[in-house]
Amino acid sequence: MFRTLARLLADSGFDTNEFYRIHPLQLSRWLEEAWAQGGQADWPGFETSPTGVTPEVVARLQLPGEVGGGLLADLRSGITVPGEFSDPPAAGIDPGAALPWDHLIYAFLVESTGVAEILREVVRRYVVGETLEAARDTTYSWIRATEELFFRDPPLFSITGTTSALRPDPLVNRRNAYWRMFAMDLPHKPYGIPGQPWKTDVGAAANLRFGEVWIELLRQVWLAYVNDSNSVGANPTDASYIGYLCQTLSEMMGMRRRAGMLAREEFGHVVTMSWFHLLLETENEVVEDLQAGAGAAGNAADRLARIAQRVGITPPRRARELFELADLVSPVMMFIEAGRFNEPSDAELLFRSGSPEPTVRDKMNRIIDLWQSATGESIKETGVRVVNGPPSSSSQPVRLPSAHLPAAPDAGKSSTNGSAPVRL
Amino acid sequence: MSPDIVNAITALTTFLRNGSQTRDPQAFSPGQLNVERDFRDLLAGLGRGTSDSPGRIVRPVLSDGLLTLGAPLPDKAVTIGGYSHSRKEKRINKVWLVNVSEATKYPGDQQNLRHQDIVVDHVVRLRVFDEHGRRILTGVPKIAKPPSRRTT
Repeated sequence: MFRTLARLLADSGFDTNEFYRIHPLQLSRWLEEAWAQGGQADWPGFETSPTGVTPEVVARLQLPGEVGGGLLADLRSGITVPGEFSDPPAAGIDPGAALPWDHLIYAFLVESTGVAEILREVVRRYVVGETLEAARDTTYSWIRATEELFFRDPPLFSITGTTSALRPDPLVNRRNAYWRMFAMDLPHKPYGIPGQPWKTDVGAAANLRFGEVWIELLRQVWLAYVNDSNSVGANPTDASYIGYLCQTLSEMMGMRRRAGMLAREEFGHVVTMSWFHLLLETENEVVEDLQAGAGAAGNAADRLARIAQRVGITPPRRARELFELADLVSPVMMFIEAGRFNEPSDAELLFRSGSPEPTVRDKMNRIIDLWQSATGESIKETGVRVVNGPPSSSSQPVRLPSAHLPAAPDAGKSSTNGSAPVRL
Repeated sequence: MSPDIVNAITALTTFLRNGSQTRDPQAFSPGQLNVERDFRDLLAGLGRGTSDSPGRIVRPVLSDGLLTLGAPLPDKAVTIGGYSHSRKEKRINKVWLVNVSEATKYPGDQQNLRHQDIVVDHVVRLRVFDEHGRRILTGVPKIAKPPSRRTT
């Protein structure tokens, strides 16, 4: 969401440096307003599809009063010009349109780069000592806002307030949400946390098949992609099966979203990662002060690697792919969750070139390339075929892939993170 | 290879693929194009691309007989409709549909659409269509509160 706000302000002529001078209380208030606008619940294409963020869930969790009234009006953000407080309507607050936020998979993929731990260490060093060189005003504004927004308890009754005496560690809370929704762990071990407490008491309610079905979907889409223009001979493409895989993923995520479960968590985690991602995606004074510039054509992963060097941390080598994947997978996953690809004819959009600008197909092709590179999971390899051998079996398996169902997590056992190949 | 030969090969390939059909079977259907357009809209909303949809209706405020907009509708807007949402049936139902020209017939008042068919009646979506019936704008109306009755 912060990347969205930065974009809205950029449209008004303000750059990222000015964005970081916004008071953190205003930023916090803006999040309340963005939530109350409805997000994807009021976005075209999601009107009739059940997703975690529904108008009822938004209304139940927002501050009392409609947008522009009630408590929301009394505690407005007033963000129109960075560094000032303006009466509404503020930028992006009252344009008559909701602002969608990313899917939880976005937060998972961005956090897989280690960005949260690296920037946490940067902020810690700035606030406890002088092991990093003195910086400019913008950097200290960013440090203050980062500490206030993400490394302390949020304001009472805040929409992002998902820490409490019952779940005090946001780092564990995020991993808990990723595990429940995707049954995936971040590829790095959390510092100072023994075992895997984010799996404790989750019960049987984690989507353990998610990863396998997602990989199978990517494989089937690739199979269909390479056969799209195949007009002679057998064509193993099965749009119905691809739609079935999408429907399975949609139902899995829907089970974790019942009655708005994980809606606030998703919003908060996406907000956190978008703040960190925003810092890295452009050249700005904070990046310059950290001597992490990568040039105007540089990417977020290069800047992250240089910042990580300053604080003695090594980010994963696949950070480049993970940042790009986050932006690509999020909208696709939102459409899958909303059931927009469940019908075979709609599933064809994932691989067919039926229009001059097949956006969905192009995104899926890039996702397949990046996912394969980031995880090492072979997607394009269709297996060995024996020349003049017996005809190959069906391109679709008899049953949907199913993960090995583990027993209840052993709290005494240490995390497997870091000791096994990265498997997202 | 000369352009004539290339054109001939292209025409032959098209004929072999399509036969006598006039419509390219590879082309997306209107329903598929709608999904594709919604996806581009979402990308635009997330700040990751541009949308061929002109966007949203600006600050619509709805009351019985009057729809006030934050900006005039584009010239290609022909009709505008109000729709309700049935969560039980998971459907969007039309409540009213009026011609833009009739609702904006008062000169100099292009942002206030007046028509007797315009009613609040559970309307949660507004849609604007062009002459071909394509949806070119969407919006979520704010319902104007009726004036409070003065108590004495």
